[in-house]
Amino acid sequence: MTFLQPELLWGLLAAPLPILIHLLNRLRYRRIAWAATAFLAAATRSSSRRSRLRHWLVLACRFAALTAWLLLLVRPLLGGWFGATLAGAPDLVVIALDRSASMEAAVGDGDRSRREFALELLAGAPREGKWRSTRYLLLDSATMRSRPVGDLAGLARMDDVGPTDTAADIPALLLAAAETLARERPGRAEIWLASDLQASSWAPEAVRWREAVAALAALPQDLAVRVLSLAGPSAGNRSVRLREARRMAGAGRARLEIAVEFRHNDTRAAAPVPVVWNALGARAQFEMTLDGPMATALRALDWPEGADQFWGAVELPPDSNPADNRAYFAAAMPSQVRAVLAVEDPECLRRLRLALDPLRDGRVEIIGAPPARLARALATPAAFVGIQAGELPDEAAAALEQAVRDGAVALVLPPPTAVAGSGGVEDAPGEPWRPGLWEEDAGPLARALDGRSLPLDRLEVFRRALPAADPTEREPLAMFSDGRPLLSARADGRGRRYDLSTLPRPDWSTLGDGWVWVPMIQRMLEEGSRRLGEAAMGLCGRWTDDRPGASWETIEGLPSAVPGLRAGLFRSGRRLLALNRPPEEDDLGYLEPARVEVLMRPLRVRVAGDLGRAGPEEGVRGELWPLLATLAMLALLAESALLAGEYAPGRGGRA
Amino acid sequence: MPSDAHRGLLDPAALARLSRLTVQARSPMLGTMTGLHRSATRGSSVEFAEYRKYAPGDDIRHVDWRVYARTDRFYMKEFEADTNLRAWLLVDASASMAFTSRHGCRFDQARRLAASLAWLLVQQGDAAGLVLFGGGGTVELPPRRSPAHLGLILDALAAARPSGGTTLLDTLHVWAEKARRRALVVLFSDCLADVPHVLDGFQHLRFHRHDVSVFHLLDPLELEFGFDRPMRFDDLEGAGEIVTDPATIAADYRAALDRYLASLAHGCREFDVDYQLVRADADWEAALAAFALKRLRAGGGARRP
Repeated sequence: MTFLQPELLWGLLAAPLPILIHLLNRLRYRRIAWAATAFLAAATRSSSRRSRLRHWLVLACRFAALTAWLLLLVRPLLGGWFGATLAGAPDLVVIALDRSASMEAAVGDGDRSRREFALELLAGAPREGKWRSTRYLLLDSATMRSRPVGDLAGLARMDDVGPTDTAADIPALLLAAAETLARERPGRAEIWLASDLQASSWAPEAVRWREAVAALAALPQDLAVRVLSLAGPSAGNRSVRLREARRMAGAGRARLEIAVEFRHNDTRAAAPVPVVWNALGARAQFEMTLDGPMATALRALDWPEGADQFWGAVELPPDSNPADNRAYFAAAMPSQVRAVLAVEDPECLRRLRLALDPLRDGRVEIIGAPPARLARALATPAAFVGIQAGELPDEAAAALEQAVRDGAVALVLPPPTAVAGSGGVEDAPGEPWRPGLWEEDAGPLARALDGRSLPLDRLEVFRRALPAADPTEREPLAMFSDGRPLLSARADGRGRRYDLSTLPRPDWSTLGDGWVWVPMIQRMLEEGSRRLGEAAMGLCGRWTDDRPGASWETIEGLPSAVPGLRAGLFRSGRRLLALNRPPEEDDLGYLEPARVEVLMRPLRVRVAGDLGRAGPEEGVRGELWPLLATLAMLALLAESALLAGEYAPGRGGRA
Repeated sequence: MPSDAHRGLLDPAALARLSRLTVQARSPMLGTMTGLHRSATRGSSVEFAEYRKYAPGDDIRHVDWRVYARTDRFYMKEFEADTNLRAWLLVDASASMAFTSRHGCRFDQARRLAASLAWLLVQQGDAAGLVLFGGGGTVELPPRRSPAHLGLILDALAAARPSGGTTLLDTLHVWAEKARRRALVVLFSDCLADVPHVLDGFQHLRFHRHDVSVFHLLDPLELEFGFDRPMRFDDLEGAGEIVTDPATIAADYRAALDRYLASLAHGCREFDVDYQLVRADADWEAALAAFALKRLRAGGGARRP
């Protein structure tokens, strides 16, 4: 048996109160001089068992009533057949809605999107009979905010249920549901999760799953999860995604190089696709033939004469998912950025300087600062901070943390004094280590604009020093063939911290050759300098305005007062913003229902295409309060009946 | 009018109202004086009783000559005799009579009733006597008609203090023998004794043709037993103490009390004892008036002197 309010179990100490009061009253008797003692003695002698029994029954009734009321406050839950009998409809249903961009794909050949279909199914859920007293809360993946649903039939008309261009984080959504349930403390609860089971949204390998499932399993109340699966083929969909847009200034006219990735799941014969290139509002259409499921296009647009900003979009014709047919870009004339290097090892420092400013055109201001002066150097915003792991003065550590939260990128290298056998430093046993897996879709190790991968497979590492901190907090971006991390990242505020396991020194690795090192550092620098430039590109749901309250106008895309959840081009004064959906939303992988059940074990979960079939009923735990309330009422009624016999009417008042 | 010492016992206003009634004996009395009550012997009142045949030696003044003229036989015309009443007021002065509740003390109620009844009897020319019996001894004042004797009765009542165990049963038997001539015996008591023994005493009194009346004095608290918390009951007559939760035994107590009252009332009816249960919260004047009126109905009405 579990309790929803276990802290009130202390109240059970008050259960013997009637007996204590009874005993105290017996001690606190009143004296009276009495004449009719003969009757008294006779009555005392012949005080029948029935009378004594009745008296103890009265006490037992009071004890039972008080105990039942106290238990009612504690709200116990009972399992087994009894619990299932008591359970009935859930007290609270948390409707968790996946509002990611992939949910805008049409269902089958119809016009409704998966999100609209999910809302329709949810609105048709039972509301009568035993479901009459059920409360509903809506929690969506885009805002992660829960709010009550007044009328389930009007679910589709509520705010914040519309389409978004965001990605969904299903484990985080379930974690938010667990927090909501812990806060609301319902008796029996259910989570109705409507999702298309997109693998990138569910992230089955994510460590967050353990946390989410543990939080849900730790809830004291009975919980069932119904997953409304909207997975299924969405034929004939094409998507476009901006991989990169970079201003290239050569000897001649400056250009904006744009790398765009096209995907499609159309199994029919490849046909030319009209692609519209929108540059500063000027539209030009080209036809493109998609030979395979994925294709990359690289296009260089001339930078307009005298313009300091450049924006535009790449558009595909409408198809089964309208949310992935546009990609927006924005760029601005580069401004000088600062990089602060608190690296003591001269060889590493030299290679960092080379990688940060390979052309030596003075665009990057490189500040060398020993750790003791790092705090002062970071007083002016920096795009990139390079440090070597080790003890930092408190002031410097705090300044670094703040700089990252403000949007800077920090690269943490192994400590300069590291030697093999100490502090996690190890030398390769014979053959050097080589990277086995790395993230090519995004991040500092992503493919180049022309679609070619960085030559990480040629990288050799002779010595490595693995980060001492818990690796589960970090997202591995590159891993050695033995599964240990080469490069890992951790988002903090608007910035990011990268941990590298080796050094660009010849005795450590071939990283210093530059094939991987230079583009990696350049991309980190660009990531950190985005907030400093006047043109920024961000991802829906992840971009945050560093100037809250700023007034934005929509240049392209659906009008939106505050950019955040929808893709588009926005302007606020001199600031230009291009928001696109996160790249993982173009992932075409979907989870199997059986995998979902395994993922959420030991929760009671059922995955189905409609709510009726997505209802696990076995092993239900029911709240005991109706039984306890009845018991308390019966005990009080029995006590009244027993006392009515004792103080019969017509016998007058009391002494 | 009552002196200061008797003011607590007599209420002039109530007595003035009660004086319009007479206390009538329910059966013929054997008095020594002419009075308001029927005598067991024939007398010279104006009320015709019966005819009987003449017997030698009869006073020829009582021969009904008209009947002789019609029938040529001598018939004696007899009339009822009116005599006075001798009343014994037996007041229980045992310790149990000291029971007191918010309605007052039982013994005070008994004294007030006995004093008022004595006053009424003396006022109508009857003789009133007093017996105060209890653990503290017995005080006996034989019946007299004089107002001075009434003063002695009131003095004795005022001075009495209830104490000791009850001597009710002995007193009933002793006075059944002691009062040889027919008399009105009025008992003021809580009658807290074995009912069969009490009824034996009543039967003994009735055997000697006494007109027996009982004012059974009980308190509402004793009748209803309405306690709502544990109590310690100390016996007034020193029979010990009982600590109990009244709620536990209330039902049995009431059952025992009901049986006791029922058997006492039934025995009184059986032995023609005039029984009145007087609650401590009842009006004593109304109780006395009811007592007198009941007797008027039973005796066929009283004749005012």
